[in-house]
Amino acid sequence: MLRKQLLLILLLLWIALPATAAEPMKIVYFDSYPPRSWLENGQMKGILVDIITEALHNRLGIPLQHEGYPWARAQAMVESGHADAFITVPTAKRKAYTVVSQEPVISFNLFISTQKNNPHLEELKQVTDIDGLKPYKLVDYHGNGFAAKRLKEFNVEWMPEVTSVYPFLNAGKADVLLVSERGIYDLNRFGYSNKLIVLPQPVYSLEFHLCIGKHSSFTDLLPQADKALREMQSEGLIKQISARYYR
Amino acid sequence: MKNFRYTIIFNLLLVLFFCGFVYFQEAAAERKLQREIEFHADILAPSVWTLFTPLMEQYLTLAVKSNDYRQMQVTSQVDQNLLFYHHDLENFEKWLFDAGIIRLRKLSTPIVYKEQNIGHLKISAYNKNFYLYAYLSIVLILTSLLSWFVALLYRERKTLKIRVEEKTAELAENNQQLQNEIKERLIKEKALRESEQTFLALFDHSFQFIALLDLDCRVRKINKTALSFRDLQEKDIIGKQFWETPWWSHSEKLVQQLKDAFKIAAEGQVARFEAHSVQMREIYLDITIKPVFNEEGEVIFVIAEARDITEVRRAENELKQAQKMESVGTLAGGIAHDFNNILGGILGTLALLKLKRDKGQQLSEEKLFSSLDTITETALRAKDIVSQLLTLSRKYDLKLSQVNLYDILQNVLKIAENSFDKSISIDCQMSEQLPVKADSNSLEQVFLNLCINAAHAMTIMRSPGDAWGGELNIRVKSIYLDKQLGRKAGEYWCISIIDTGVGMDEANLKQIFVPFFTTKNKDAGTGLGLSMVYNIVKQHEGFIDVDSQPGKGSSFYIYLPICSDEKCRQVDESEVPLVSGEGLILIIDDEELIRSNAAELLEECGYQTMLAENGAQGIEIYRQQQGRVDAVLLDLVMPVMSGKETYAALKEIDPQVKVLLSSGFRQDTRVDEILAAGADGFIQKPYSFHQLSQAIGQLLN
Repeated sequence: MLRKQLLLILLLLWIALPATAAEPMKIVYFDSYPPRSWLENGQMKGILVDIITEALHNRLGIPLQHEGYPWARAQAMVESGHADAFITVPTAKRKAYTVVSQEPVISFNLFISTQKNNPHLEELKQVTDIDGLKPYKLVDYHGNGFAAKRLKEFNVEWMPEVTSVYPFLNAGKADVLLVSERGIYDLNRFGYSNKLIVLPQPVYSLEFHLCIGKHSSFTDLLPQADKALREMQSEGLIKQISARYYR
Repeated sequence: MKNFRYTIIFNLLLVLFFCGFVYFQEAAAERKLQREIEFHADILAPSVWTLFTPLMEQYLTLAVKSNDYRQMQVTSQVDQNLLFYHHDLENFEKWLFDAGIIRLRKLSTPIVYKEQNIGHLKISAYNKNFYLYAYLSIVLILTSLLSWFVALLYRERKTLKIRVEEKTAELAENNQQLQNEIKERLIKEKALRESEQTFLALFDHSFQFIALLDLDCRVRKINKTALSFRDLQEKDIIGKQFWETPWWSHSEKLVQQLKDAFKIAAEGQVARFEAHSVQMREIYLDITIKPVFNEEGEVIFVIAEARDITEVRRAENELKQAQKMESVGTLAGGIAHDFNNILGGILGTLALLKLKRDKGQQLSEEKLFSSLDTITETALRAKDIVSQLLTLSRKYDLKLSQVNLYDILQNVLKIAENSFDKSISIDCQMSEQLPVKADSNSLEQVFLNLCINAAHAMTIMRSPGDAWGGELNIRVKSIYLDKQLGRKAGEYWCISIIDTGVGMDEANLKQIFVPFFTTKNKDAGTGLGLSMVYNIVKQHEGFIDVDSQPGKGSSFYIYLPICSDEKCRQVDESEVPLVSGEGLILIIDDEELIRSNAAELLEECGYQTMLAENGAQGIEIYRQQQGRVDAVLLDLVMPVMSGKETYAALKEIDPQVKVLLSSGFRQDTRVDEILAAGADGFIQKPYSFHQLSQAIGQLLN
């Protein structure tokens, strides 16, 4: 009996050792989503990279490998098992192939961005719910899973790149672009702030969670990750990291 | 075969070319598709990298349709399907695809982006080289067919050339044969022409009339001799029945003779007869109708030949007459002696009677009648001699009738006994009834001639120094003979005339019937006697056998058919009653005695008579009594006007006049001319009462 238990332990060790020691956890990001994540000189940088590094590597000792891809590709890699995890809004589709952390990595609101001279500007100022945007033409980018699901029944013009949505809106080809703080960050970064405005009332709130692929060997890490994130949230570290990028 | 080998090689080259073309074309298409797929992968790479499916989808749609692919698929690097676009063929091409004619070419290439393999692009492309291959196949098949056609043409040309050469050789050979045949034919034609000319020369210039008749007795061919005889054209004769032709149609007797002869010839036998016609002029024809047989022995034609023997007959008659005169000359000495004896007897008796009367002697009635009887008997003997002389002098006329050989031979015997040298003893044994159908005058001539020859053989033909005299035996017996060549089967009288004269050797015996052949001295014979005998016997359907040995004498056997037919029975004239009648008969004759005798006879028979001593008087009487004269008995030979002239005048007065011509010369051509002109009958002088009454009776009835 004892011999059998010993053999089982050895087997588990044989399985666990390579996962923990040899293979780092590959976390993929949208490579062009500053300041949350972006690829710069072959290195991933951004709010999400910093939070996850702190939570999983610094606090849990998990070796990490941060890789940036077009957002759809990044998701596909997790779905196909080529990557272990990504951080995003956990939609039903994503939940189908990932296990999601209970604690959010980041939380943020969505605001209405439109032209300053948009004829519906006053009407848009009165919209407080995302469903109030149905009469208007929206623009968003391909790979935005939240938008793909939530704005399914809306009049949306889909752009191939996230960076394409701003000139499209600026050209007056759409009425509304839902933006978060990151969007506002881009809008300012690309110089559209003099033509476009962001209305102050939030119309929707969102949270990014750690989603570990069901194929990944790190799914068991999720409770520890939740704990680490909770601690960072309580320590105010997450806000500090975000603020550092939005300054 | 050589050109077919080239064609096979050429076609193999075509196949090789086609295979090579297909191989290189497929390889080129593969390379092209490879370049295309790599190009598509390069274009798609950014979209695949970003997985921006709308853009990928648009591109795939555009690429599939523009390049006519069946399918494009983008997969991930783990071969997970990312995007798929499919395009089916339509209509005919779909059928070609389903049938496996349009195949698929499948290629795959990795999609590389930023030196990473981010997936694969897979293409299923329709391989539509089929059209090119089909087109090329058609071209090559046509080329192949053309090559075979050219090969065939070449072979046909070669075959044709060989055939032409063969045919040319054959034609040349045939031509040579033809030329040879033409030469042979020309030679044959020339020979045929010559033969035909010869035939026509013989046929047309023959002295004989020749006609080729079919089995319906219609004239198929006739020679010029026959046509020229009556100045006829061939078209007038060809196709007509032979007896309907102008030569014979006037005479029913001739027509019947021809029909009978044709019937015999059609049955395969030769028929021959002598025709006597007086239509335009007197003519004798020796007509032979004989069959022509084919190889099977069937009669296919009948040839009618007619030979004009008129001159022959005339010559024969003249010769016979000369022969008679010769006989008369021979007999003259003996006859003169007899006549002198007779005259001596008559004159002596008369002188005795005158002497007694001059002396005033009373002649008893018995003595007177005895002297008159002697004179009458002696005169009758003279009459017989005269009668025999007349017979000899009479011209030949073969008139067959029932006669008794006995009478004929008796006449001959009388002449012989009276005229032959007394050193010759004559012995004749025969029955008194020897009926035969013959011309009595001719037969008398025959027997007399043979007897004279026998007498000469026993007298003048004996060598000098040899004693004259011998025996002349005449026998007649009946004999039955079977059919032999030249004679019919039946009963014959065999008249044998056998002498014990000088006889003949075999060489002379063979020539005795040849005209002008004689063993006598020039003055003693003409050489025509036995020739005439032979002809006369033959005309009586008889024949002659001769047996002779030099020094022992000669035996002549004359065979004549016995006439046992009841119709041949000789009727005794005395049994025939006189024929009575009524009517006026005009008798024109220069002989008063004949006129008066004829008138007395006819009146005795119930007729009325009127007499004229010449033609002119007769014509005058006839004109005066026109309508009353029922018949005219007209003499042929008269002074003032001849019988012919008188008949013509009478005919002019009354075309219906009935004329009975009388003459002592039946053979006179004038008789025939008058009969041909329409005279109703002829009676030969001297005629008996019975003959005249019958002739007039037949004329009026």
